[in-house]
Order: sequence, then C-alpha cells, then structure tokens
Amino acid sequence: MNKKRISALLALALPIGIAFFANTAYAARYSSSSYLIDASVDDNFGDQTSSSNYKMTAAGGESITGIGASTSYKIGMGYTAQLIKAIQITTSVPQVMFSNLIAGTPQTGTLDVQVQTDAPSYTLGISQNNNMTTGIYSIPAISPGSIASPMSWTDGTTKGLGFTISAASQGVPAAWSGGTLYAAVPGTTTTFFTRNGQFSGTDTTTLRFKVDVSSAQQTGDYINTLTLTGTMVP
Amino acid sequence: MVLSIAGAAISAPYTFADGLRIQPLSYKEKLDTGQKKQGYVDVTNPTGETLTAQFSVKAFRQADDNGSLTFVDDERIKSGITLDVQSVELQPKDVLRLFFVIDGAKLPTGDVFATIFAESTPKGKGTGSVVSARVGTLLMLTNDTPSSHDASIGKLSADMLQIGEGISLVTSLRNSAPEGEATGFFPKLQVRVGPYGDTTVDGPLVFAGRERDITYKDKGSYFGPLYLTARTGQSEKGRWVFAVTGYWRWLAPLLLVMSIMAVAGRSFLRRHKRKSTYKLRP
Repeated sequence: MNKKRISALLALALPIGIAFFANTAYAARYSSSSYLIDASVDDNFGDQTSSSNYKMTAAGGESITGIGASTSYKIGMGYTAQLIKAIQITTSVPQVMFSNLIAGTPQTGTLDVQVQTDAPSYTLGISQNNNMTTGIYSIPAISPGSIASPMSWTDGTTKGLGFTISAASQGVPAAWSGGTLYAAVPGTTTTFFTRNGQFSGTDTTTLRFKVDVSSAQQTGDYINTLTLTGTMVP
Repeated sequence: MVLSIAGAAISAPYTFADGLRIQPLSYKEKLDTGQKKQGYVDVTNPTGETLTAQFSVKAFRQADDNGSLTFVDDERIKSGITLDVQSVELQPKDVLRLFFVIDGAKLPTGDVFATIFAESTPKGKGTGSVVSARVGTLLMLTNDTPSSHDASIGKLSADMLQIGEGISLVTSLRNSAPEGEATGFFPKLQVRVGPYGDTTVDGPLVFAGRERDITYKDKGSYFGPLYLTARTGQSEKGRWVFAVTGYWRWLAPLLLVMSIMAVAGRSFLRRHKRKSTYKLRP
C-alpha cells in the first residue's frame, strides 16, 4: 500500500473516529416542548444514566448549594433536585365585576388565571353554580355558544353572560378566534384550556367575561360563583 | 330604559387574589382484595390572605381525545376514599397535610379513577361573578383484579425523510372497549426502529372509546432506510423512512465530499499517469 493510499484512509478514518468516540459529559438545564430537566444551573459535570433497574440524573461541581427564597421566588440549589409535582392556581381578582349595565350596551370584566406546575401538561376547567341571580330573577347564559363551539358576540343583539379567552401565554387557542368568540359558562366543570409540554414560571390565561341584558331585565345586584379547576392531564 | 345592575361594585377595593396549590399531581396505586391504604396531599394557601379550603372527592373520566377530564359525583368512590377533614382555614402561605384512606372493600373493583379536590371558598359578595379556585390530585387505582384491557394502534405517521437529532413519529393508542362500558388504562407502546431495536414506553391514560396521540422521539444517530413499528398488544402498524440523524447529519455530507474528492483525485492521477505514458522515452 503506497503512502498516498494510507493518507487517504487516515483522512477518511479520522472524522469517523471522532464522531464515534467523542462523548462529552455535561449537565445543564434541558428543555423542549415536551420536557424540562433541572439537572443543574451551572455544573462542572453530570449526566443521566439508567438501566433496567434505575434512572438517575446526576449533577455536580455546583458553586452554590442550598435553598434560597425571597417574596417572589424560591429555589433549591444543589447536586440533585427533586421535582415538586404540584399544581397551583391563583386568580388576579376574587370577583369579576361589571360596570352599571344598560340594556343593549354590554359590559366586560377580566380575570387572569395563573398556573404554576411541573406537570407535563395541565388542563383548566370552568363551571358556575348557577346563572347570575338576584332573588328570583336571573341573567341567562348566552346561547348557543358553548366551549366546544363558541359563538360571535353581536353588541346589542347577544344577551346573557359569556366568556372568551382574550390572552394566553402561548397565544389564544384558535377555537376562540383571538378572543372574539364567546361561550356560556357551563354548570359542570368543562375544560376550556389545555397546555401540553413543560414550562417554567407562571402560565397566565386571561378570561374576558361579557354580559348584556334585555330591557325587560329586573333591576338588581346579580351574582353567581365561578369555579376554576386545574389538574394535570394523565 | 336604564337598569342598574351591579350598582356600585366597580370601585370595590379588592387587591388580593384567590388561589390554592396541591401536591402531588397524582397517585398510582394497586390495592389487593379489601386492602386499605393511607396517603396524603399537601394543600397550600399561596395568597397573602387567609382563606377557607374545602375538600371533596369525585370520580373522573376523559371527555375527549385530547385527554380533557370531566368530574362526576360517584357515591361508591366517595365512600371508598375518606378524607381526614372536610374544610380548614389556611393562613397566608400555610400548608396543610391532608391524609386520606382508600378502602378497597368499598371501591368498585378494577380500574378506579378519582380526584381529591381542594377548593377555596369564594370571598366576593354583592354583585358580579365571584371566583373560586380548585386544584386536584388524581388517584389512578387498580382495585383487586384489574379490568381486561384491549388497545390498538390508531394511526402512525412519520416524515419519510428524517433529518434531525433523532427519529420522530406520531402514533395513537385507542382503547377498544365501548365508551361507558369500562373506564381506562395506561397502554404500553412498543416502538421498534428496525433493524436496531425496540423501546417500550408508558402510554397516556386512554379511556374506553378514546384515542390519544403520542409523539415518540428517539434521539440517536441513524443513517439509511429504517422500518418504524408501533405496537400495543397484538395491534401493530409500521412504515419505512430514510434517516440521516445525529452525527450522520454532518458525517454523511463530509463522506460524500470526501468520496467525490477521492474519485476526482483518482481520475486526475489516472489522467496524469496516462499522460506520463505518452512521453517518449529516450
């Protein structure tokens, strides 16, 4: 074998060898639309290993360990961290309120629903105990708009109470047409929003409620209770 | 005609938010005949105000193929899962460890799906819609003898040309039982990247009559034609793809360029040698 052939073989073998045997050990925060791994923030070494009997996420060489917190955050720093596996819902206001209502001129109120979770995906449902009532009188829900098939709202024509998703962290779901389509609040918990994939921080979904009545509506202070339900999606 | 509905509520001075947190997200447990088990959930008041949390147990089932849940009252589940307390007042940032007991003798046999809810008592009053936050821990139980399970592969789709960090496919698992005649289960999905090997993963919860999508990703270096197979039980679907993934994304073009250069070089050398042979010898 002459020198030229040997050189050509070496040139071919070198990149293949590098590709096969180069294996860097590192650990950092990995995420995609479907997962989030907090192996470490700034590690010098670490990796994921597993066999048929175990799975381990290891990280080491961190410069800071311990628990840190303030009024706005809580963080666990260390060589390994256990996922919290929880779901939290908070609302921006405890009550959606509407301005004085004049028949034919709808009023709106908004509600931010904030979710924090490390679930792979979560779902939000909504229900009401009854239509808005005062004594024996009530304001009906809009019809026929439902969560499965929301309807457009025509000011002056559409009567009742309805809601839409007017903003969401990842954009308003297409079914709500940018917050222009409205649905009646159902009597039983019905899913109106699902987010798939891990995320960090707070996921905020803004609901806009809209109400209008006919001129025959009895005057009074109308009230009902909305329940927002959050669970993981199994 | 002017109606005064929701009179002076506009300027009501609410500055705090409602909310609750529950941990864990779910329990998966198996109960032997008549067995009792105890567990707990941690319920936190994340707000800056005192609130009253109420607790309840409901059954759940899937409402659609996206995995959305619907919750219903079920007396057998309510009697089979008892909570230590029904309500409690939580100070700001307080955490309650709520214990519960699952009684296999009182629950239906087979696959049981329930939720422990923590719900804030609404504080608003007067006019408008007062808001209550509710969070739930899902209990996915196998009580005594598991129900019979039958799932099938609904669809299998994958790009014919796979270029990227690895192989990616979308398949679906269908629970073959008629809706309403059974509950649900977690089918196993076996994905084979032929001829290299197979992997078994846990599928999502699939209720009777439902079909759930699964996106499967196998990060690895593949080159050439592959036969992808998705299998659950006796049901199987497959398709051919051509893969250039992992380091092959860089190595394949490099080898191609090197091959072209090698061929060009060899051709040049041959031509050069041929020219040399034409030279007249002294």
